[in-house]
Amino acid sequence: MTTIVKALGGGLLRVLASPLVIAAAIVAMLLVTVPFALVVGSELQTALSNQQPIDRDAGEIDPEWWFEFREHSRGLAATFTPVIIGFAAPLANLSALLDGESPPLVLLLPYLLGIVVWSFLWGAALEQFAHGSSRFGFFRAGARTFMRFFVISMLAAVVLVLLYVSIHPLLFGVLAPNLEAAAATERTAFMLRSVVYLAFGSVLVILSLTADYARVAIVMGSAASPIDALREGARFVRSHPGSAVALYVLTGLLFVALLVVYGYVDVYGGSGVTGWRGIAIAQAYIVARLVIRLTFGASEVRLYRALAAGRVG
Amino acid sequence: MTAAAASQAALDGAAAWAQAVRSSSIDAPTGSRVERFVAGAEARVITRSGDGRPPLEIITIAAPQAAQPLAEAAGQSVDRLSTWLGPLPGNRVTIVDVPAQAHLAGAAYPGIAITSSRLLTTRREFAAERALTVAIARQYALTFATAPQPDSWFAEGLAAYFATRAVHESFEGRYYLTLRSFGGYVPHSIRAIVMSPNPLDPRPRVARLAEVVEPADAPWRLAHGADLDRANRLTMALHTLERFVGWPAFQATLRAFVERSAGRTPALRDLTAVLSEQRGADMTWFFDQAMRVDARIDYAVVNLASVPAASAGWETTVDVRRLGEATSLPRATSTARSLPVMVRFADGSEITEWIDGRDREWRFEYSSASPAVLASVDPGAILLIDADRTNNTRALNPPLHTVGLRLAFNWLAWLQDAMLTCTAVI
Repeated sequence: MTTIVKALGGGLLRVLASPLVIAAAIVAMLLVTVPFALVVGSELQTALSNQQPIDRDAGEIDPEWWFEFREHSRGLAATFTPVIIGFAAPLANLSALLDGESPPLVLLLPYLLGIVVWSFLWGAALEQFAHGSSRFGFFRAGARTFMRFFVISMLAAVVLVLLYVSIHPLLFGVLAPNLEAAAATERTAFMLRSVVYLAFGSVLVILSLTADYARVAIVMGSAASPIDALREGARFVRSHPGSAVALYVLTGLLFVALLVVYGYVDVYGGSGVTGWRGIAIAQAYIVARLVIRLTFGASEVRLYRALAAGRVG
Repeated sequence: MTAAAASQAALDGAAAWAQAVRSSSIDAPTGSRVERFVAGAEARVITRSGDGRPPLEIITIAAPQAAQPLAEAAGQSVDRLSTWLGPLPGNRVTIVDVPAQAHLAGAAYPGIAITSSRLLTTRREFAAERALTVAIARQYALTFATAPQPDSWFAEGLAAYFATRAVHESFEGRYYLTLRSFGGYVPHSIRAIVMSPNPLDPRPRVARLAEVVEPADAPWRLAHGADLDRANRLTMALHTLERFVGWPAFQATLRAFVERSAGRTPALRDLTAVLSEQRGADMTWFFDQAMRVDARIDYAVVNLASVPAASAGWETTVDVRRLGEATSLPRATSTARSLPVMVRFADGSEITEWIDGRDREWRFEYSSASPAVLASVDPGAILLIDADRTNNTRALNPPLHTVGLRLAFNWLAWLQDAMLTCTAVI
């Protein structure tokens, strides 16, 4: 357990001591998402300006206009639903991941760009977390492993899709509805569904851990090709399931804590949260989430090194 | 109606439910689904009377902690609807609180209203109360049809209209959009979106509330398939009429219609007759056009141009087009002032023209000291049966909309989070 806590603590400190990596992640996320937001923002401005002029200067959101807009919007604008507001966003995104809601096709491009960007970022970040910045520069480190990391992510994406078309329908299309329907109370039904979430979530964790340690194996020089790296990642998780899962869960708890704080601020933070303050809070949440994501990588590097060499580096 | 009443001793829930089923027309599968949840439950009876109306028994079958709030919510709904439409049909309504996973919240059968108190809820959701209000409001329409049949789309359309209006009025200013995630178990209310704003707000209220229209294929619906489309069209037509004639006048029409329809199975022509009588003009044209579900009603401002004139000032051209096939308003009205087209200029002045809705294209040209900034057909958003109201208005050089800017930033954060979630596993 000490090894795991040391890996997590050391990983978090390592990330916090790497402002360049954090800044790069923030900038990369903005570069990928802002162009799409500009498109949606432009459509919104047009739509809001062309509303029927009936109290159009009201400061708050008109739900009737929003429903009318959604009914007639296409493309990216069709993703402009109330879930985008504040804490509803992470809640809906996590729920969609577990409930297996298919993303709109129009989002495949931004998601693909996200995979590309993170294939590069992980290379640069893991190199820095594993060896410091002395071996390669930031960009060279990212470029050196980019293709292999991209292949790992795409292979993991294929497995993920297979999970969603095979196991997920059985769990949430057959098992969960029957369990819930048989429950006498909503409390029991919710608990039963939570158990099914836990089962599917465990499969996702195994996939995630395998992909994570495959990337770590490449950076640590334990594997050269993506396939070898995935084998090594799977071997590491199989060899040290308790440590790997415990570290993942502990780091995940940081994310849960972040969600709790965000939810609390959003729900109880005062009437101005949905205005500019809300936007600032949302961006602060994204930055914190990036830090936690990088912590996953940094702590896994430490755990991998510790269990391979018998100590935490 | 004032609640005067007398709480009687608690009854056995199963017995109360059996009594309700005997005097209702609930379908057997739904009855059986409810039956398993009422076994062992308690039922409480409250008798409401007052204002010379017949007493009404409200029997609530629910867990002890939920029974009182549900009975109060039911009483308030009954009072409101009685004021609008006259006494609630029948002398007894049985309220049943079943778990949400039964998917019966909002179900209504004669004398029966079903709702679901949620395990997790927020202070701004009122899920159980809203579903209960919907089920009680449907009671009026259930006297016109108790099961799907050729003409029951009319009753379904009325039911949806009554229910929507009752929800908006009952939860005005305190009902916020509440999203449910993780299989519908986890709620989150969005404080930026008030679903039932103050009635003084001139903007239309949401006409298709989820608690009223979902699930579309519910067994308690009085219309399905194409008939449900007609019912939905009728609901929108009724919302349009409410905006057209004003709520006080429309409420008087509805009340007279409900009173005259007692003991009968009325049809749309009966409502039209009452409306025409109340308005002092034949209103057949309205429903003739509005209920053509095969036709699309869509008015649009297709062009707005304002250019400097050769001499001085500005030349403005506005083109309005009817994109759909149906017309909404008659040519034959005495003034032919059917649908307004408003043009606003930069100096704040406005010109309103009236078009005959049966034509297909209209062009207006103006010479003015200031350029035009906006043109809108149906600027007051009266014609809610317009298939696409996003094309009713055009603005020239509009200022930056801060709400739009804030929403775009929210969308940005949502996309960032969605991307991080999507790529978290891979």
